[in-house]
Amino acid sequence: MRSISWQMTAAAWALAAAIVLSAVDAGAMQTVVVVETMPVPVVLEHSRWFQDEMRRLGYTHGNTMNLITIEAHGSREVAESELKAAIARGRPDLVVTFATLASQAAHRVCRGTGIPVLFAVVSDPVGAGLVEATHRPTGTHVTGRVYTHFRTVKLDLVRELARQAVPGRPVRIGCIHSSYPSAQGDIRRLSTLADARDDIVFVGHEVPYREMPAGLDTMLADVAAVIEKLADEVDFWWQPAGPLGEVMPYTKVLLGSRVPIIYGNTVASVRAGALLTVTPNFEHGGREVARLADAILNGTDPGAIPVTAPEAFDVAVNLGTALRLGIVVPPATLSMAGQRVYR
Amino acid sequence: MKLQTKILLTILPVVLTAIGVLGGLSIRRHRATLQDAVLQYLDGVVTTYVSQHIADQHRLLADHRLDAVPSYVTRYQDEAAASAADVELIWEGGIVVFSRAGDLLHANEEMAPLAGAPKWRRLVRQAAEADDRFSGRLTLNDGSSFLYSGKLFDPWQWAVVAVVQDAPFVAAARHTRNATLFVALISAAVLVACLTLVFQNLVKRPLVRMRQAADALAARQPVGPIGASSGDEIGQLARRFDSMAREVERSRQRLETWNEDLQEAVAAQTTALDDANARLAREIDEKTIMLSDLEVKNSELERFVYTVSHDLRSPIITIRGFLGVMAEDLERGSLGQVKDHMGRVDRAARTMQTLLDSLLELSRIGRVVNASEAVNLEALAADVVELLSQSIADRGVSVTIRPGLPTVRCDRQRVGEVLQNLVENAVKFMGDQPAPAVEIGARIRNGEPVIYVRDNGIGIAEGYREKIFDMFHQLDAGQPGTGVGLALVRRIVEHHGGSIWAASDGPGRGSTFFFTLGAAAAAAPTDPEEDTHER
Repeated sequence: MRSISWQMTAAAWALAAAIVLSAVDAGAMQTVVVVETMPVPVVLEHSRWFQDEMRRLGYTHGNTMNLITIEAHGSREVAESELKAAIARGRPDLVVTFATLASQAAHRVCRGTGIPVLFAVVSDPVGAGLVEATHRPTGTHVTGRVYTHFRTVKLDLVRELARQAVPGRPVRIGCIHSSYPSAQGDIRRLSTLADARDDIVFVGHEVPYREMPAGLDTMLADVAAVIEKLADEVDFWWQPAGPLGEVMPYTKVLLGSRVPIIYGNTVASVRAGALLTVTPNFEHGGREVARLADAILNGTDPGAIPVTAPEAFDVAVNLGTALRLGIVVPPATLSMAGQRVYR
Repeated sequence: MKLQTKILLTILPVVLTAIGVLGGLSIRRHRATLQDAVLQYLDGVVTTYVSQHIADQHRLLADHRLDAVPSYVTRYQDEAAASAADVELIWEGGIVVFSRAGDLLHANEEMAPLAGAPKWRRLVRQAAEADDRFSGRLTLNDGSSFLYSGKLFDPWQWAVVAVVQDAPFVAAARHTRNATLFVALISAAVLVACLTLVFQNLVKRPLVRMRQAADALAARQPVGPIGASSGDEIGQLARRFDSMAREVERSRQRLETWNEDLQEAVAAQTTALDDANARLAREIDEKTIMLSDLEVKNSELERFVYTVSHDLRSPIITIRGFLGVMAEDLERGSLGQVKDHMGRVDRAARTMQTLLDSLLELSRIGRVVNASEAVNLEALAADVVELLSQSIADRGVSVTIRPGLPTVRCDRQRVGEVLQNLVENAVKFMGDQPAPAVEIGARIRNGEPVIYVRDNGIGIAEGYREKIFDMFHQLDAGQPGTGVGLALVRRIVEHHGGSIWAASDGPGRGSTFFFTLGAAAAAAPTDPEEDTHER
């Protein structure tokens, strides 16, 4: 009897020690799953600055954080399956998504699990079905940052430039976009804003979205076909948001036409020849998402975090394009562009 | 005029003059300071404007190599100049942009009409040649005045001037002057009030208290300390006054002490003097009494001498007469007649003898004093009655000695003579009384025994009750006697310290002689049955 009692006591101590150690390990190592929609600059840059800020906040992969990165390659199915697999391997403490497809996939996979989802680089989270409204607490396990396009600002800046080149009549701006949700939402909102103005008319044309990068060439071919069709009808091109607008080949296709790009979707497009762009600052956006992730990992309820717009943005101007078009970039715009002034 | 008014009239002009001068200087300085501040403000505005609006535009053009692009330069200069309208100054005015040659390039609606004046053009041209900064006041021909501060921007050959109208500052300076004047007047009033208060507390009150203390000192009333604690001259004066008052108080107290001592000494001297006066008065009284007694006695002596000479002359005349008659008788040989006349001479000689014996006896009273002893008056009265028993019996007088006569200390012999004379007189002056009676007794009056001898004889008329005690005074000349008896009685009684008086209801109704023996009687033991002898 005495021997049995001793053995039971030892077993109980061992079990307690295991539980404590397990708890310590769990507390020290948190699992964060990052889902990147596709390898485009806006996604990759946000993800990079996010991870850099996490390291600065003390989260190092393999030490205090188990960082799992999922590359969806533009496929919602891939994103969902990979995320499910990751969750199956171990419940993550947080899922961070970049861009709309990945965010929608995470929202769907994590629904009902209580796993917090933090999205970024989503231009229309309401339209994408992630949250019911912006600028207020979500009340759910999902929160994030709107990839705001400052469309009103963009339109005002663009109009001031375009009016110099096209005086006396409404400026016609062509926009060839894919059927990617964010692209559709972007052009829809721009058209709405333009409708309120008498001097700008948006001429939109949609091409089917194809998973990138595999479907890029196809989409570019479709775009080229549309350019031939619209070139005589518009004064300028406008690069919409979405995966297509993120890639340089699309810019080059547009630049190859006789119609100048008055608004590029990325700084790279401006550097390539587009007149102007206004984009959220990737570094600031990535770091801000990291600070939100830190808060959630430390116990903040994601439902208490309102979905808001980025706090910093970049303006880029191509003076060479402006001079070629006889457009004077206003001092304020030029000043805002700072070092992102190209020729 | 009060001291306070004098001081105020002295200080007030100085204060008002000082305030006026200082106020004037302050206003001038304030106006200069205000102008400097405004110019500094304008300088800051124009500097900020040039650096943030013009220099920034120029730098943008330069940094981006657009300064050679006319469209950009023009646009950026236009924007820079237009942005001057966005600069809001605190006061009416604005930023005016001139070319270095003085041409007006930009001005807001308010300043445009004024900035086109030729004076501005000359001012900017001259200033541009002198320095890259200029400031001051400019008055146009229409009288409008401006404060300005300008700065040259060489890259664009601009002269940027921040201008404000001077009117608000003139008004402000006027307001400041008025406010300063008002504050100065209020300050002067407050200063005067404070000075008055300070004067009253530090000067007037101590002085008033010193005056009151001085009045109290003059009125020889107690003086409390002034109580000034300040270290100034007033305080020192007050403390010295306190010291003086204390010294005066001490002197007064010493004086009062001396006065009291003096009064006590005077009182003592007065008392002594009064005592001496009293003694002297008593002595005078005594002397007066003595003099009165002497006068009485002198009168008595004169009357005595007269009486003696008269009464002695009568037997002498009788003797001399009968001696002549006897001589005639002898010549005639009438011896029978001689014998008879000789009898008459003998009786006259006897009368003279009796008279002279009485006088001798009277003179011995007061000179010849017998030893005082306790004498039972009842026994003494019995002895007297026994001595006079023959005459009493001859006249058939009933003599009663009432029991209770006291025992007194006295001269037995003299008091016996008193009783004897009184009883003899009573027996002698019975007149026609069919039942003559004499009663000897005593009564107590005021604690003093009064001895009486009462008879039912001829009585005494009211006018003779005192005279009967005079020497040689006889009620009835027909009665034998010398008229010395009652005088002798009174002298004996008075020599014992007592008194004697007579009472009578009138002639024929008897008389009573009362006498006391003074303090000597009290010295003798009192008969325990004394009251029972009271009649």
